[in-house]
Amino acid sequence: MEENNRICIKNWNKSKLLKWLLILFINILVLAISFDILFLYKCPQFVNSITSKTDFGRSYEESTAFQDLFHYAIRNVMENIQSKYNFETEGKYNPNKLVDVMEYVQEGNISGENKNGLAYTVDQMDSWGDLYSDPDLREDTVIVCQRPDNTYYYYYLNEFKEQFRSGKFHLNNTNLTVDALLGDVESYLPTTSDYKISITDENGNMIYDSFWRFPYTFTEKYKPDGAENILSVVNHIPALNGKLTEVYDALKQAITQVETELEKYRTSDDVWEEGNTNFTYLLIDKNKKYVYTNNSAYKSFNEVTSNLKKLKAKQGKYLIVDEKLSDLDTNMKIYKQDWRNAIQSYYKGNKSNYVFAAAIDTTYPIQDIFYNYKQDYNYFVPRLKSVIVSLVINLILLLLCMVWLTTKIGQKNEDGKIILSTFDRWKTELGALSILFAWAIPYGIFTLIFGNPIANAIGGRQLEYVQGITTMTMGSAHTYNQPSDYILTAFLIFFTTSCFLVGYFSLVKRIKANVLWKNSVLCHLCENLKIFWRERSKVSKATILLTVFLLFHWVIWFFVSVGNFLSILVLFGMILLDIVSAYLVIRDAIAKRQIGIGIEELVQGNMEYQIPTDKLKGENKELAEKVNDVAQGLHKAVDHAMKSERLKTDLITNVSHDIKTPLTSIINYVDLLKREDFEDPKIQGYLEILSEKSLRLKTLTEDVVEASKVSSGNITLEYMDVNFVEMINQTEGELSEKFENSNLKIIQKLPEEPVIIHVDGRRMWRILENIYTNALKYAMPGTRVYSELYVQEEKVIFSLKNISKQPLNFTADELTERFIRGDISRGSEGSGLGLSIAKSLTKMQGGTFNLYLDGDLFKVTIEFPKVK
Amino acid sequence: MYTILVCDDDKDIVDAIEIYLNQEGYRVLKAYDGEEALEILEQQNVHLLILDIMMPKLDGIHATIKIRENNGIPIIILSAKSEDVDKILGLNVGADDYVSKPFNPLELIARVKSQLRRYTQLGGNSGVSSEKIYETGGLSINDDRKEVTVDGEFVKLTPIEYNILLLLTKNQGKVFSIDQIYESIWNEDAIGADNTVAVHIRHIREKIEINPREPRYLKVVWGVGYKIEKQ
Repeated sequence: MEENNRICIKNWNKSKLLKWLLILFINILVLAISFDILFLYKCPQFVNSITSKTDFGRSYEESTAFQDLFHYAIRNVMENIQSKYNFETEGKYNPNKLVDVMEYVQEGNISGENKNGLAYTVDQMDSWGDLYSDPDLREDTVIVCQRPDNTYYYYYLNEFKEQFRSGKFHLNNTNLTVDALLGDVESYLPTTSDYKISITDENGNMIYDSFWRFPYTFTEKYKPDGAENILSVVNHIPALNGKLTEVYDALKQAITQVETELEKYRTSDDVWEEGNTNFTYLLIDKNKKYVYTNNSAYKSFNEVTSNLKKLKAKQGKYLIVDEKLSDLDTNMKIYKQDWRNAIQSYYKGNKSNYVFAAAIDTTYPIQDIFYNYKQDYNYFVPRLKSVIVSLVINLILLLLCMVWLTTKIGQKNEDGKIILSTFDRWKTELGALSILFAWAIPYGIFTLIFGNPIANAIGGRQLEYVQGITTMTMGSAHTYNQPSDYILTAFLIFFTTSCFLVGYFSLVKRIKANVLWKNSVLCHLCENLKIFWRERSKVSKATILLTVFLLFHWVIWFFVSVGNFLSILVLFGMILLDIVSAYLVIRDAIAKRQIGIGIEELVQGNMEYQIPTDKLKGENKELAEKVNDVAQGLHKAVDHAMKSERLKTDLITNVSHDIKTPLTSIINYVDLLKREDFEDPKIQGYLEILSEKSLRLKTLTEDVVEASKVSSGNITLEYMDVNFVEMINQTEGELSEKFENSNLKIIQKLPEEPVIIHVDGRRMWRILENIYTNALKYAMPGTRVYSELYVQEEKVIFSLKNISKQPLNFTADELTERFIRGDISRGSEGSGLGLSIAKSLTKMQGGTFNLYLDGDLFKVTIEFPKVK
Repeated sequence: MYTILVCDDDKDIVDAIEIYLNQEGYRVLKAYDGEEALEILEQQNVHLLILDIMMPKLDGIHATIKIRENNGIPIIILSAKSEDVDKILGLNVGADDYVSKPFNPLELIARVKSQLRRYTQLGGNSGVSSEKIYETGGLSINDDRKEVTVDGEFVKLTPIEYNILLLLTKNQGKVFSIDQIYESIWNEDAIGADNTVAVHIRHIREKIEINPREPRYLKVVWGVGYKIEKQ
């Protein structure tokens, strides 16, 4: 058995250790994967070149990455040259340079001459702004007229109307008047030629076959070069006849193009200037005999041939593009056809008359973008392969580890149940949140102190080159990242992974133990909702109303926050609802208060009080009516009880009267008998008994009446301030001789100062008399009777103690409630009602009456509130 | 010899009372209801009337009211009704005394005697001399002679009892507390509470009252003190 246990522990320890090792291993794997990904993230430009083309083993200058950058530089330079050509005259920006719209759109050149008839200055086009006019602007409406020879003529609407007014035009094939036809251009004049209405001149000769409205208008902000408006240009240049749509489109395109190209031109920088780069270019315009270059040494047109030779002779890569494909000369491995086409497309000038040459000095005397790229390339590319391999392996390992751990996790106890830790027993959402916070808070604090090392590691040095509108971001991070960035990053990743694993393992355990859902807050919520739904009839109307009210407010909140135009309307609704709610709530509160007052009155004993129900509504009304019913019922019951109590008292009183009359005779005649001289002592003894018993009967009848009256409360009290000390003295004075005769000694312990209580003096005397008489009757002769009076903060306590001569074999209740309970009388003297009467009277006057029996000690205590 | 009319519907009670009164030497007339009593009163010379309340034909209260229309003889009501209300009602309609059944024959005789003395010697003491006399109802104190009489009968009192009674009678209607009485009689400070005075008072009451439990003159104001009722 012991052996077995030890093995178990050993195995357990082993598996535990293995698990911890695995967890550590997972952490390391995650770290490795993270850094692999970070590495890949930082060399995106190379990843592409490595995956699609094989750059492996090549030097940078032979790589596609180098070729791409070279190409990019060429394009950039060409575009720069083009915009300089377009916008500059003699090396300076010329805003008044004429832009031939058709030429610019077709070829991209701005030669400065108006070749095709429609031209504007650069400045005009740049500031043209909004291209489309207001469609209602009728001055710009254009009427298209078709001549019999299928040529066209354009008129502005006003111009067109003027022709009719001056009588030059006449309408044919129609009943419509000119004014009717042209009055409302929009509705009557069609935009197609289907509507055949011809126009004749004053002599009846056909001028136009038909006419229609041009479908759109164009705002002519500026006059074209050498003409009044676009229509006059189009009408008079045969090449453009009938091509108004194309003209408009070309103009629009030209305006947009000028704007973007100007933007590029203005923001171009000096990246490719001499001294800033290892890149050298020459664009030789044979027509102009001009050389565009960034190298002052190659400026001369006359030395072009020798200069090109010089360029080729230098150490580096070069490319020379001449007229023919066969003339293309380079020492790079490229697709010559593609490169030539591309480069030609960048150049807008005359294709046949230029030579383009570019070269890169691969000694990199200047640390430009090429230099930086070479550095990055040399760093990343040789490692790339191993990084990718390690990434894949790591991922597989991680997956395996996770799968293995996932299957192994969750130890089972003897019952085959998964052992859940305290954390696992937390509510699912709570657990998730706590993990999240346990991760996020230290993470936040960490980044507050150390900055964001991950962002630093990812970002590193970032260079932004703005060329025209093309923005190129080049990551070259490794040279600028600090080792500390990586250490801190590693730490953060380790921490994050650990947090994740804690949460993940708990999740797995929860799923295995099948408590993921059962122990979630959402589940409890659903359960409660179910209960709520099941017990919906019992849920008060108020709760439902409240829910509706709250929902309504949330909906309104949503509307208001969305800013819907309805929101104001809904806001009013909300205010209205609030007012109604406030009214309801206040009304309810008042109703509750009224009912509360009613119940309070009832508690105070005012059973005749009725809650006014006429202004109450709904539940409150029902409630109030029920309370009223209860009050009425109680009132009736109490009334009934009081009536029967009074009847009882009356009965007792009347019966006592009837007893008293014969009793009077008995007493009198016994007395008369006693006066007769009977010598026989026996007869005298009998008479003595008769006399005694008849007198006892007398007190009994009197006491019964009194007890009945007192217990039913059927007497009136006359309250006054009474000195309790004086009262006790008076009482003891009245009874002193009787006590002496019984050989009892009264020991007083009374305060010296007066003690005032508010009672009915005569009833109080009756109480004290009864108490003292009781002691007188039942105290053991020769003992002491102690009368004590204590004054406390709020009350006055009087007690009378004596030693009983008979065993006290009954309870206190039996003494004071004899009249009600009908217990057997205990003594031969008196009615036995004295204490009962005393108790009732004490209670009636707001005091308390207590009996304390302990062995032979008999103690009566009465308490009254003290008057201050 | 005085004639006393006893009226009760219970013949035995009337007979018993007759025996007691005859023993004291009074002539007794008997009636068994109110009307009979009224008839006898008209026909005979009666000095005192003992009247029950609950009687057939005419009850004691109404009989008393009738009698008081033209007759001032002493009326003692003798009734089984012992409530305060009944006593007050009886005394208010004109009765001079109220004894509740069952009664102590000796007390009844004492009250009869007292009433007769008052009735026959009515006003006899007033303005007799210039002596210092304090009186209330049938109680009279002659301070010169140090004599106390109740309904003309001398009462023997100790000096302290006399002084207490004198103090109270001089200040009729005023209530004296135990301490006040002690201080004025013993002429020393009342140290603490004591029942000495209360005992003396009870002794006085036993001497001057017919029924000390229901005193006519020296009354206990419970919890306050003692007083002589002003009459």
